Amino acid sequence: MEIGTQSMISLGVDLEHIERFSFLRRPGGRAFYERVYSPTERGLFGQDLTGLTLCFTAKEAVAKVLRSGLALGEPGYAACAEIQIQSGRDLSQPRVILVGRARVLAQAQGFSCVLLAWTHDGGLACSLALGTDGTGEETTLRDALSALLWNVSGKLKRSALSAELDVEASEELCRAMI
Amino acid sequence: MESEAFLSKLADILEVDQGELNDTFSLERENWDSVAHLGVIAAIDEVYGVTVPTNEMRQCQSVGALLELVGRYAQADDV
Repeated sequence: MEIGTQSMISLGVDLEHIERFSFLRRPGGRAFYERVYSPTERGLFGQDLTGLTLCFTAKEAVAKVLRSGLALGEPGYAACAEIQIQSGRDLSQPRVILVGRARVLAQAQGFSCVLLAWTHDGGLACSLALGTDGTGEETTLRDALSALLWNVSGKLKRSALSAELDVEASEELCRAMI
Repeated sequence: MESEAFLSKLADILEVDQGELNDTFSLERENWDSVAHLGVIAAIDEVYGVTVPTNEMRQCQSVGALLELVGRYAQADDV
């Protein structure tokens, strides 16, 4: 899909109920907390369920951009630890750093960068990731991605899974950037 | 026992009472989702020290099937 001189390659989205992650505060959630989130992410988000849910949706969205499932080091999948999420302490400016196999997957698919936007409202957290081979227009793409997510956040429903939202998101992203 | 420790964690992940988790307890429910899949894999690693393939775990439709799968990989790891 071409947008001006920018070739958009892959879009990924994930949506979760924040309350779903309340199990992280129980003993059964400890292994998930320690293996899905890196030490840096645990330091950044602590026990804040909104931040932890956003971080997880970001990892899932990026994994979809990479056309990979999310795993804990299983061969053939992008590992959670290889999709590293950063943001401000106020959850602003989310960004992703890819390492290891995740980085190799991105390079193999021709991505020069993967952009990330997220939002939360009404007990729902949603991330949108964009893999692109473009250069020099990262700010424009990032702003368009954020505007798109803000625009569609009002339409978020539990049943709006990635396939349906990907098509709508792609069309709206095109309109946002023209 | 390891199975009791695992079932305790599974109950937390699925947000049910541990007493409900018998062999016939169905995993085909709303919160048998990607969060649960990773949570279970992590819990298996924590309790048993083995990694169960995600695609095989997703095919488990009951707690009994899940325990059988875990037992198979735990046994193979002991060999």
